[in-house]
Amino acid sequence: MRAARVATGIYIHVPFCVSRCAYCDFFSTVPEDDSLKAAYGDRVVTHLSLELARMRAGDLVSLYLGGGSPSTMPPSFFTALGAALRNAGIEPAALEFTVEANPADLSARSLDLFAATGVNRLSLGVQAADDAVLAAMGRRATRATLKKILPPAREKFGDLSYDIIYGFGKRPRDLAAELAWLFDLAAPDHLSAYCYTRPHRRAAPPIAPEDTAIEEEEAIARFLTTRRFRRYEVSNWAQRGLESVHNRLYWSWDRYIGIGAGAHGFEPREGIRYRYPDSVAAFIRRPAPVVERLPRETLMREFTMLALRTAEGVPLAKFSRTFGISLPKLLSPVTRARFLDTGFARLSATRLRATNRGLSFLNTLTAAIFDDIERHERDHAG
Amino acid sequence: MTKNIRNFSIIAHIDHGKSTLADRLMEMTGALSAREKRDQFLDDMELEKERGITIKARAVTLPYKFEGETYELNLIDTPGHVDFAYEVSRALSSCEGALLVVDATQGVEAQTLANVYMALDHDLEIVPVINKIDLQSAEIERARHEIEDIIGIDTSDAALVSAKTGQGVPELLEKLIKRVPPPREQAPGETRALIFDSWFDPYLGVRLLIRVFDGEFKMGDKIWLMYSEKEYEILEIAREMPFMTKVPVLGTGQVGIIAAGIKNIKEVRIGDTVTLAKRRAPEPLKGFKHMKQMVFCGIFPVESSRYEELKTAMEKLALNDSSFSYEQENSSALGFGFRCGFLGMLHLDIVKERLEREFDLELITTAPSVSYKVITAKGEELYIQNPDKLPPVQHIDHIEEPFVKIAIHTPAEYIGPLVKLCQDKRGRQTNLHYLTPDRVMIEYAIPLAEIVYDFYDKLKSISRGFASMDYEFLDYEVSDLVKLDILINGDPVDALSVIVFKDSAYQMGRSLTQKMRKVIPRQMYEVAIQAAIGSRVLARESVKAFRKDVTAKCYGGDVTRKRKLLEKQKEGKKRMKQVGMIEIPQEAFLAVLNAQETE
Repeated sequence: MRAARVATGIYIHVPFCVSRCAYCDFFSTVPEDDSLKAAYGDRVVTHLSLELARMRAGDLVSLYLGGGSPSTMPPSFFTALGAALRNAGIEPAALEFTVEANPADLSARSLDLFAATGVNRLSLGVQAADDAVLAAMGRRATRATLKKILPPAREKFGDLSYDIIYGFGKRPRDLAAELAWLFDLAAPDHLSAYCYTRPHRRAAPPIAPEDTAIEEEEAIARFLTTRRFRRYEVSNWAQRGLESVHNRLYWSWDRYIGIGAGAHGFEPREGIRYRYPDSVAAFIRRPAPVVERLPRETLMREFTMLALRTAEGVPLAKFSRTFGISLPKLLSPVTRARFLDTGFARLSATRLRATNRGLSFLNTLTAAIFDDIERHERDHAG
Repeated sequence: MTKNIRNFSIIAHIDHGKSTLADRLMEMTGALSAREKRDQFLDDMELEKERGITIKARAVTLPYKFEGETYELNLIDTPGHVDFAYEVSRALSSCEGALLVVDATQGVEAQTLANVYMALDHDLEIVPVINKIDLQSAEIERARHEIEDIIGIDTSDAALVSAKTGQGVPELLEKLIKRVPPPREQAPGETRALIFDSWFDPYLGVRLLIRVFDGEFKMGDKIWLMYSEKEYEILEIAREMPFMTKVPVLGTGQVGIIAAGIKNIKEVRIGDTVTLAKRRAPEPLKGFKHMKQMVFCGIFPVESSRYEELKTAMEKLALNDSSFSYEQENSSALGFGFRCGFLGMLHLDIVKERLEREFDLELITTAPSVSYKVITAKGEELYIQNPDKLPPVQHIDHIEEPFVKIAIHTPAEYIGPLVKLCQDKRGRQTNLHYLTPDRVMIEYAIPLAEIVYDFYDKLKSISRGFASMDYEFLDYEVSDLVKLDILINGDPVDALSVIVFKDSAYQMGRSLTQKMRKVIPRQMYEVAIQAAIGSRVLARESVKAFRKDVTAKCYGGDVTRKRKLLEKQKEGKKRMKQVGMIEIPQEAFLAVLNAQETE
């Protein structure tokens, strides 16, 4: 009998940018010449082929190029990538194949190149539709750039996603107007709205006052609801059926393979997380991941923490299948009183989920459940 | 024959080298071989080493050959804090002499003074020792002058040593033998020993640390504890040399440890006199006092489910500490826990820390309280150690609070501010006199409640450390006291109630609520904090609700970092107690301790 299909995603990290943005905390560099990118691209494609050879073709459900700015890679990289997929017998159309891109890097040519490689989902780091805000973020794109590139991107790709940042800086913004302008220009199918988290750098721009951030969040929610978008995770919105397959892998305890400097991977069956060090040179020389096998209690915490981020919440059956205990049983009376009885979370026969209101206090809720898990594990140790 | 026995203790300020000197004495007398020695040999409790203090007394016997004779040097190590003043006095009364150790780089420090005075009160021969003379910064002459000026002891024969290198230690031993008198000979026909410490041994029961004043005690002797009025049989006699060594007998002048199958440490009182059951001494040794618990507080597990563990831990700790008491208490806010009694604040701190460390418990302690005497309208007398248990106002005829006699020794220049401190704390001056032209003793009758919290720290900071204090229970006095309740979101939290002097209630209410606003973190709900007497609200503060507590991004590469962040958030809450929907941190329960400072 064949073993069940293990839904697997592959994440490729491209740690290169044309310039660094003020708000960004991801691993990325601005290389001085293209030879480094070429060498890195070669190593990534070789490594990808290796990983593909090791897995059953049917297991792969998503391929995601993130960064950094994957759109800064030379055309030869995309050609090689397409070839590697074909050689492994993978039909890109059968996957969710996403590329992240900075609108400022895009041209009609690059859009064609992505499409030819098999990319069927484009995730654009739009961030804002207000020139002053874009400038404060250190973005190269302006409204003019967006006006030029969003409509052809919309035309080329069946699945289009925008990233938006709110809660940023001290100047007031009209988020509803920014979104309306973007949607009129080219309406996406998916949108990630991130509340700005200030990186630990002295020069990083300030966050907006809490009340402003919440007003902006509410404006975004109102707007997206009128466009029939649904909030399926803390920061992710989509039209029904167009939720990101790749993002969901992270939250639903599925397998994902990381490739590239700074990329992370997860093997749920073994409870192993690994990551490649934040070094382009090291990855080119020899990709050697740092592997961590997590103890059971940590795995329980992560399972809950991730699933609670989604609108569906924690699937109780999967939790007990994975850990051999029932999640509702380990919830303390205090946690129930604080979160369930007050409408911050709901417990049904199949799921524990945060309500819309509860999603705003998810850290508090999760920390409380961490406590319950710790108590349960201590009381049932040995 | 006692002529070759020397019983002595070491008086020193923290860090002036007491432990190092003790280590060196053990080494140079040959009691400890190089292989056996380790630093701070006597302070073997983890907490003692860390804080640099002695909590339990010890008595180490060091045989030493000098000019053809073998001497028995008994080093009696004592605790040094005001909370343990009574134990110190019992240990000192077991000695004939004391080494006063002064750091040549620091000079005389204030904390030393209280114990020097106590030693002088017990007529001990004091041998000044100037330590750390090997250091570049040593100022031997200055140290001499300070000892002479501040303490008034002749230093022409002071020992100059480096406990670290051993320099001068043989000469010190010689001075010790020549200057400290041997114990007095037995009073004819009497058999008496003083208990100056005790602890619990799981195999032999309570062990008593004793100094024999008259006669001798042998294995198998039936003994009689004169204040406890209990009879036991000696099962074992031992001395620390410095390792525990069994001996058949303890004679006049000697110190040692006896085990007599005593199961409950509460039956043993520090300062009690041991005599023979068949030939009881007509009089006990002088100086016995009942040790009085001065401070009380509630101790609760942060997690209510760990009550039983806490109970077991309390039982174990109480086995070894007769001055600590506990009884079950039920708080509507904090659940099941214990109301505990202590000698003072340091004692409270030590017990709490030991419970947490040795038993791995997370605890919430409520604000310390004294024991109030309440005379009800019906004429009953109640002792109230928990403010929440104060009867309703209409049932109270009047309340009395414990007053203590506090004696402060200080250089004259600090009289002004110290007197003001005592006045501010509702003290009544009973005496003020000059011991020397520039040293003064000030005596006050003062409410105990006013000195248990931060009085000692204030006294030290006002006098730059040079004033010392000692206090003893005086009596109960009628006082105008009220119960100040703290309401969180409209509900009184029993564990936050305090009893305060009526005239300062308003001020106290304001500073308590302000302080709590600062220590209670923002939560999912607004937190309203009110201070009230009965239904009259005196002060109100609020902690605004936070509106958002969620991490924006959590993808594959963020999982570990995000989890650790939440684990940290959870750890940060460890010291918080869930009271209804609100999490209250430990600091809020102790806000009263430094409420005045927030004014």
